[in-house]
Amino acid sequence: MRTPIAWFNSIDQPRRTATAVGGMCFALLLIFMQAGFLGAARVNVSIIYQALDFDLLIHSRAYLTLQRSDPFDRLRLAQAAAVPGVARVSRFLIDSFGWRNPRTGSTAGGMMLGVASTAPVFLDPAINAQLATVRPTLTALIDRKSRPSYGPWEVGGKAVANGQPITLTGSYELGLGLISEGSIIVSDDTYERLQGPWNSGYAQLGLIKLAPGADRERVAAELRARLPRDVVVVTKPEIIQREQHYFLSVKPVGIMFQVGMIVAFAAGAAILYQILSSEMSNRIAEFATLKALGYPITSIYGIGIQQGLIYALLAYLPALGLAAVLYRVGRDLSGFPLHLDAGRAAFVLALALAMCAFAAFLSLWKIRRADPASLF
Amino acid sequence: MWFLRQFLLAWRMLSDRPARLTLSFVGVAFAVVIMFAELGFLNGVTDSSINLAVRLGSDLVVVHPQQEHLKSGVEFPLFHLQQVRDVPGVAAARPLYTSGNYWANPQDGSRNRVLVIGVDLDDPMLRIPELATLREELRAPDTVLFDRRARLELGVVQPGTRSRVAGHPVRVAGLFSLGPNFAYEGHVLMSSRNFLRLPNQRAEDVDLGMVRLQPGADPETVRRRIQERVGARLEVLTAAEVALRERTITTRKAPVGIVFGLGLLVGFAIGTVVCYQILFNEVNDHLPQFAMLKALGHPPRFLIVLVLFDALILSLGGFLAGWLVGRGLYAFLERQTALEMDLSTPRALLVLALTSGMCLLAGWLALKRVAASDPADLF
Amino acid sequence: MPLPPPREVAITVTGVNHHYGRGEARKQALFDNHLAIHRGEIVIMTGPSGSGKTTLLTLIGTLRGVQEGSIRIDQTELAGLAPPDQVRMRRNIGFIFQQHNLLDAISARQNVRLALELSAAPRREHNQRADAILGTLGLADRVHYKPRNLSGGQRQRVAIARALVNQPRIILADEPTAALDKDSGAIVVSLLRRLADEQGSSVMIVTHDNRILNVADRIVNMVDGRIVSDIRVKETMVICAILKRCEIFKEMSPSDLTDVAQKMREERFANGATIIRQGDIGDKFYVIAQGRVHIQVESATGTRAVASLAEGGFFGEVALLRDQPRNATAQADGEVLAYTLSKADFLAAVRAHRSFEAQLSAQLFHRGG
Repeated sequence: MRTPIAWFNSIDQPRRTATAVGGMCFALLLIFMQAGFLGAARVNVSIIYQALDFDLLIHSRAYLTLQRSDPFDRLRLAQAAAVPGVARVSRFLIDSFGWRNPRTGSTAGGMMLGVASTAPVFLDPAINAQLATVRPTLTALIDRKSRPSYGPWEVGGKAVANGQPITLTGSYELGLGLISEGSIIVSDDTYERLQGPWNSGYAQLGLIKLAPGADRERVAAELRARLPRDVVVVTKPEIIQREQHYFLSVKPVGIMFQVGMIVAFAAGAAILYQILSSEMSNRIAEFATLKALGYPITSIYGIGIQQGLIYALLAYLPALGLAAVLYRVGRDLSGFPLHLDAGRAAFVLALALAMCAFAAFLSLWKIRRADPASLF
Repeated sequence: MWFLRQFLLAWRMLSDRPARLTLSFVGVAFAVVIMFAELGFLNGVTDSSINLAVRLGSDLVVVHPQQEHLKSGVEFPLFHLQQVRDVPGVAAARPLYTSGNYWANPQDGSRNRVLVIGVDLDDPMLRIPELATLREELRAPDTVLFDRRARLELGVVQPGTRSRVAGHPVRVAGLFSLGPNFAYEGHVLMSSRNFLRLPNQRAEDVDLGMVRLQPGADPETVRRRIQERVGARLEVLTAAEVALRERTITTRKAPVGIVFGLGLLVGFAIGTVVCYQILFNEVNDHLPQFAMLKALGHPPRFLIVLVLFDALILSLGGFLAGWLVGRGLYAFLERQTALEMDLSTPRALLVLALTSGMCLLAGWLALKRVAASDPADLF
Repeated sequence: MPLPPPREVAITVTGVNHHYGRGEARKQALFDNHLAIHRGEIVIMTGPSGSGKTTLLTLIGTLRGVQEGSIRIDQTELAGLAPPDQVRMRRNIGFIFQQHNLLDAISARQNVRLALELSAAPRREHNQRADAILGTLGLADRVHYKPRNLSGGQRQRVAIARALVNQPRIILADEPTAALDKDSGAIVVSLLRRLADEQGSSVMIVTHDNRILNVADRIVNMVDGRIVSDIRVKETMVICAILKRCEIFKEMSPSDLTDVAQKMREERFANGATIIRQGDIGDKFYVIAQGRVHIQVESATGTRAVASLAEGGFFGEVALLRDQPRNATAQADGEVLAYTLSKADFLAAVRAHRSFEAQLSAQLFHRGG
């Protein structure tokens, strides 16, 4: 076993190392928080699409995002259904609505999803099974994860949507988080009653399920060729990616979180560089000694790099622990889906290692400068 | 004089090693940038959320008691406003209509959410000067004022541009400045007459009642009188209270406020740690000089003040660098998000205070540490 | 006192110049230095600071590149050595620094191991060998101490252990005793002496510490970048002892004797070798340190043995004094070790010391030719 000099150097003065690592730990924690919210928001913005069962999607050319979707002529659905390889085309309606709890009088916003009560468009079989219960007009399923602002409700109870009384016939779990305070699912008839009869000639989205064995790209190309230019055909991954991109690059929160992450990354790298370079300066005579002993420059660089790695890891571990705690607090406080999954942990670890690479690279020139001839 | 001399001494000791001093400034500057960024985010969110509220030009505002914020769309019947008009002390009470609706991008036809506002052109009670200068143009049917600070997604809009609001064709008579917020990408202003020509809008459903008082009338008294007159069916607020309400609902509802607040704290913590490290090394390296100063007969207080001056210099240098970077960051974010990122003097001073605070805290911690480990009984 | 066995040269310095700086600021630090250091030899370098001793030491230690001239360590020429080879070369050299230059964060044992890990020593022996050498230096109970918990003397001994653990062929030391008290200094010096004697290591010490001069085989004095004197302390002492047993030097004061001894060179002759030949031009004066020498005169009647000289005997002075060809032939009888004095030095010594001249005259008279 070679003497692990980098490790001994790092633990030689534990208090100094602790303060140094503390600064970086905070920077990593900041990244964890912003990445957490960004990631949660990313998942969140596409949550409705993720809950739906479709291969291809038709939306209006003026479509912006799911909440800002533009209705298009229902006729397009029938036209799409005639394309070979298409097994099923379902009309999907969505718009915001005003919720009022008649018991408490409290009001809240929400999203109303309208589907044909015969169309099993959800991935969750529990929702599909309950669709039959909303066949009568002015009945609805309600999201159990709606915010507390919805007030107490119960299946079989009454509520007011867009000023009209509805009966709650069942419930499901979706949780729209940032998008909206809550949601209800209604039949297309009820939707037209609540959102305006003009909707009857329109669809917000067309959900296409392919026939077994049909090639998705081929069918999509065929649909694009056949359908008029007022609608657009996209695949499920494409639409999810588009929704996330819109949030990340266009919405202010997305941009802010990303800038925040970059700033935190830069700060972390700067701190690590500061620690490393002062450590290198303090030990310059030791590095010169190693050179005099006949250690090749590469293995002396190795000590600097290892020390950077050790600092990065020492900072990462407590940041990971703290992030887990703060995620939990954030989840409990805001009901926001903050989760410390392996991907995010790995992402921040990668950033920590990148900081280390950056800082080590910059501080290595100090090692290079160590002159063994100056030892005499 | 005594302080100046000591300040110069502190400066000379720090600037003895310019490379290290620069690095120290950079370290502090990063903490400052983090604080600026997070504070800017927080303010960007809250400032934009009240961008309409702060332009309300009425003395009092009446709303439906269940209206939690200006975008909720909870309305009250017009006749309540007529009741308000009769209350002694009220000079005028006019309805303000709002509707969250779609604006069609005149270039590519894509739609985005805007808040459409219908005002009484004769007495709009909004602090938007274009309403007065373009009053006559706005009387024409289907003319609107468009928000020049709206997000770029809404398209390039100039006076004379034709587009659609809620599917209804409109012509842009002029531009005004308000800007987007988290709910809407921009605002569109029009006369209430034109507003009521939009689909699904009824004159009887009022969003805000704008109330002006007679000169000399006491707002509190009038408020009480209005409340007595209309009872619990309306809530009476001052413009400032509306703004406060908007701000509270934004920070409470969106967890972003928590994250940015936390970010501010983390920035402070990072800065403290960095400063502590710098100052501790600084003091440690200069122990012989300190010992000499003490031998010359300077009291321990002299040394403590010296270190705190070191801390102050660090905070000033770091703040200046951080402030410059922060300005750039704000300009970038303003361009990207179209939200107003206001780096006003009080906010800059707040960050300066935080910076000095963290440096002094770090200086104090470093002194304590050196005092604990110093065998020469320097302090 | 026994003579050391014949020694090979370990370090050869030939015509070394060195400059610092560039352009206007270029300054010459070493001027045409020549030096040969043998195996097992301890050389102490003295001289005022700035005289170039340290520069010469760093050049020999391959810590700097040779600019002009040549330095050979064993068979390796250091001038023009590529940096990776320089690094490899350093592993054969033990450095002892004034500032110890131990790594603060690791224990005494680990510091010593740093050198071992570069050697071919099997890994499992590392701890054992490190502990062994620390034990030799009286640090057996300090192997796990970090440098900051050791006294200055202990730290220096750890540094020495690190320099010596690989039994390097060359040891370069800079003021190794400056930070030490008298006893610690004595321990360090005797250790270096033992290493030189037992392992044949060549040791170069830069020092101002007069207390350790007695350990030196040679004392090299540098002034202004030049070697101004190279005193072979031990050899001189041996020669003095021999000279003292010589009749003709008996009356000489010790300091005069030392002067003469310092100018003498060692020469070795195999059995039967002709040391001087009758009729040749005389250029040296010989003193026999070991072995026997037959002196014979050749004449028309044949070869006649005139004397057989033993240890302490001398010959060759007549030709020098009279400026004549050799009047006899000297032949080694068995292995012979002799010290020689050049004609110029010999005549200078004769003129300087009246008693020497008187002694010589008496001898000449006595020998009758």
